[in-house]
Amino acid sequence: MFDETTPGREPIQIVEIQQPFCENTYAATPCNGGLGTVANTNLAQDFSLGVGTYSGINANLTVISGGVNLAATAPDPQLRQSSYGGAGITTFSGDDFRYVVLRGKWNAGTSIAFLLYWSNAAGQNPGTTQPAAAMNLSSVWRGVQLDSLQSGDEFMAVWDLSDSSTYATMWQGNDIDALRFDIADGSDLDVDIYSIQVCTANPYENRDLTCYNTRFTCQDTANFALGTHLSLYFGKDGILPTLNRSQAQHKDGALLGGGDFAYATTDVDATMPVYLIPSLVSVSTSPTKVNLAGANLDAQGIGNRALCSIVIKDHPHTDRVVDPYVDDRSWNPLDKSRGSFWTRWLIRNKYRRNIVIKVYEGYEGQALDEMNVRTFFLDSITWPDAGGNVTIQAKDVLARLEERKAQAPLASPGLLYTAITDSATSFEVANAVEADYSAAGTLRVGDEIMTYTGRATSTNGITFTGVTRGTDNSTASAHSVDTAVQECLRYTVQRADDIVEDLMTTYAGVDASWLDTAGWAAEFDTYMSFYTLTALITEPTAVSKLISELQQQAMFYLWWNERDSLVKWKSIRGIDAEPPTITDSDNILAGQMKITEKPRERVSQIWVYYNRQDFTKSDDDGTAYKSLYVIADLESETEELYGEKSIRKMFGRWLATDALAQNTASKIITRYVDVPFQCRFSMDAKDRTYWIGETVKIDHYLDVDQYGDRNIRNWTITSAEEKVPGEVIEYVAEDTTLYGRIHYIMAGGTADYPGYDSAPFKNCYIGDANGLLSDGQDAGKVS
Amino acid sequence: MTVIFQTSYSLPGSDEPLTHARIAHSMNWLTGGTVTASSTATGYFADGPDNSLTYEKWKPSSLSATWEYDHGSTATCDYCCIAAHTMGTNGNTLQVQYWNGSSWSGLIPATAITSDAPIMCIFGQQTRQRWRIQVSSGTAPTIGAVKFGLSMQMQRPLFGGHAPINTARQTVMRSNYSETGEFLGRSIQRTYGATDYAWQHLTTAWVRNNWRDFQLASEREPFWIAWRPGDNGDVAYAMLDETPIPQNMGIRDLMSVSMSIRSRGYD
Repeated sequence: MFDETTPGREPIQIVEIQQPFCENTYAATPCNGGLGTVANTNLAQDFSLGVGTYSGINANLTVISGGVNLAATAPDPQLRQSSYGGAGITTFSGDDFRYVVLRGKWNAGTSIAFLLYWSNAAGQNPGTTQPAAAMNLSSVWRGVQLDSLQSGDEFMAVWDLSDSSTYATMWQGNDIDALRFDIADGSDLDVDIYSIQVCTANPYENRDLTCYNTRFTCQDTANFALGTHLSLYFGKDGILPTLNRSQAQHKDGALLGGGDFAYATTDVDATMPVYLIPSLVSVSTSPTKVNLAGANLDAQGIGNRALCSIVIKDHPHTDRVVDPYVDDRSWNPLDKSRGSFWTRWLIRNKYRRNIVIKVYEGYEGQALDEMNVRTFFLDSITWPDAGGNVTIQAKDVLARLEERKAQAPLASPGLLYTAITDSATSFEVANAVEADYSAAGTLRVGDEIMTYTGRATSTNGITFTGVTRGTDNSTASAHSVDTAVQECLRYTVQRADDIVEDLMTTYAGVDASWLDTAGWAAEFDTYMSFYTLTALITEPTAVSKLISELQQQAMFYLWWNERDSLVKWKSIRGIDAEPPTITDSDNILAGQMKITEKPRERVSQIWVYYNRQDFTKSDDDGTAYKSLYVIADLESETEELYGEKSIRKMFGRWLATDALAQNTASKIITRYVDVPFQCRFSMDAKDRTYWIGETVKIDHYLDVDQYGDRNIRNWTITSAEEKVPGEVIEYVAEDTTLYGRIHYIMAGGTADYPGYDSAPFKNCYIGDANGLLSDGQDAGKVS
Repeated sequence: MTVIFQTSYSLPGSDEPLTHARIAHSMNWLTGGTVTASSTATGYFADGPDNSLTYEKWKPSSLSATWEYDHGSTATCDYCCIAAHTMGTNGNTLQVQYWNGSSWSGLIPATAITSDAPIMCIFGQQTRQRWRIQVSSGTAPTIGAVKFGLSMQMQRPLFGGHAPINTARQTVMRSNYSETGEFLGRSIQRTYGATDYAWQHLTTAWVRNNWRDFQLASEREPFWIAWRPGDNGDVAYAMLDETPIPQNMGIRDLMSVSMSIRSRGYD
């Protein structure tokens, strides 16, 4: 077992880029790549047999024949090469057919067999079929059942010759000798026969033009279909972890034609990639930083994003793995005139933003799935620099919340088609379609809020009906033509976790699989179930701002856990389990501990504006709110203590009730009345399991009380970074001792306090007049 | 031991002594031929060993397995070099053979490979068209580079100061200690081998006849070097960061040259 505790462990870093990849194969159904446009054929017909002419001409098809009447009374109509006997037969060359189309009208007769023959050898009797069995299409025509044809029916039959590898091969690239349609006695039909010739850029003649299964190189975008991604692995030079491995993976188990890869299911190291390009230079990250309760005024409300910078060398490459059709091309990818790995990859993968990048960090001897893996999303890649390196910048999924990317609600395009009075209950809106507005909802027009119960397409756009004017404390008024009609976003007594999920998935485009919604719900249900929130957002607002407000007002924090590849949630609360203790003797690296104060985060007064009344004013306009709740710790402002005020204003868009405002204010003042502390320290990789969001106790000689005794307090990790991957982890933690402990009311008859070591952590025991238990420990306190 | 001699190998009279280095480089190994393998496991490439990209490997799907190079015409060879392999770890036996027109004839007998170090097989010169290696026993290995060719033999042995590549490990070690001095962990980072080679008293004629090809080859691709094949099995699969430039010594018409190499690690 190789891990961080193995003596002489050898850290390994592997980067995986999950390249989007089409699941289809070039020029094989459904891909029409390389087929080009319809072109003429020189296929002549045997006019001597033609009697009737079907008049259904398709402008997009080229008629092979002027029309042939395939009547049972005539000899079997044939279209033959001149080398075969018979006078007056015009030569034709039918190279590179992809489709043959038969279009006509059924005149009379019972079910018949239509067979399409051909012969490759000049002079052969077309009755010699090659191969007849494969060409027996008598039972079913594409889209037309023979049995269903009645006299007078018009039909079209199409043979897609790529359906059969046998006759596709024989049709394409070979001269067609003869086409023949056989019909049974008693049948009579008029047909036009078309062919669609493959253009010269088809894959069977010029394989150099084949795509690379990427969207940018796709030649049939209508049939481009994202399948399982193509994983590209990069490791560092030197000893690679694959020397002693024996199996490969690349397409997550899916096979791609022409030399592809699959998992081995029996090998212990089945998930270690065998195709690992040793061009990785370095991986550096700036970690996620959580902003507890939004207290850090210098950070973004949702904390700082995790950033990853990956440097990879450029190099010549055989195009193996990245080019599914490399063996078909005529040129040598290693040729210097053909570019390099990255110069080609960057062009072929033009649409690469936000693709998944995983960084595996582990040790020699570990399988890939035993390593820590961190997930990021590609933001940018540089072209190779003077040193021949490319630099990849990647971010965590919450980067999508940045203002320029996500707004809620979306801007509505509609404009009043005509002026409306202050009492109109329906009106028409131009410049919009139904899909631009919900079926029923709330609108803002000017400074007025109104609700509606229906909307439908109308002459000049859409018409809203069932309109109730002047809702949500606004005043109904007249509005002029071309006034913007903006749909509002309303939440009514909704769980905070549901609101965040809606904002992230509906408006920020974050895939729900990246959200730990089950964990969110559990945390919400256990610790903050009373935070059901109400808000009305009347204009497009940055999702990041809304979520930041939610965190501050509902007292929780989110962060991207790149190890779990999930957005995590934790409420601002006390601890309900004994945290582990890390010490300066067993854990913290020498000279790495630094403790600082954060005076700007102290709060002596908290002013919470809540119960919003005016939804058209600015969010930070106190007059938009009906109520103001203030808690002040005036003693902390005296000269004897901190000597100054530190007022935090909160404009509680999401807080509609007294209870919510008071709860939030109380928590903030309790936790931040004293200057909070922050510490930064490093630990050996053997302790790398500690990560963001965890609470630990720290026992360090730098942290003592007034008597010089160790002050072992609670710290919550707000940032964690593998400073030296696989060796040293650097942590930042905030003192959250004042967050307290969560106690559970015990059942009647529970025994008295048994002492610190024996008492269950969650139990709450009644203390003496000094708030102490029998052994001097603090008793529980209701706050 | 990673220098393997043909059974009853007899040094040709025109060859340099086996205390002189043998070098296999891209200007003296065979190229342009076709490669076939008896089998290839999924995810690997039959022609992987034919290029210098050691991360593109061949692995047979079953043993005994053969990997053949057909030059298309006859050529003279006296070595078969192998690198980036796992035959030692996988407990394999290696044979080297040539096609004599009617059957495969042995050059190197079945030899148990005991480490993953680069291999140089040395045999008497043969002029043949088809060459192959055969791998048996153990479990299927991966092989990243295989070349057949006619070696460059250094005119002089090495001078002192050379660190044999098998011991010239470049390993970075880092330890972590707690505030109170407790040992918390140790990490190593194996990178590669690195050593120097220096030759003196090379005649001008020899240098002019042999060295330029080596310069051109070493600027582009890795090479194999066995610095004293008759005495030890040190073989490096090496790359240069600078072109080795011979210098006149100022003594008669003699020249000297040195080079610093970095070799691909294997353990």
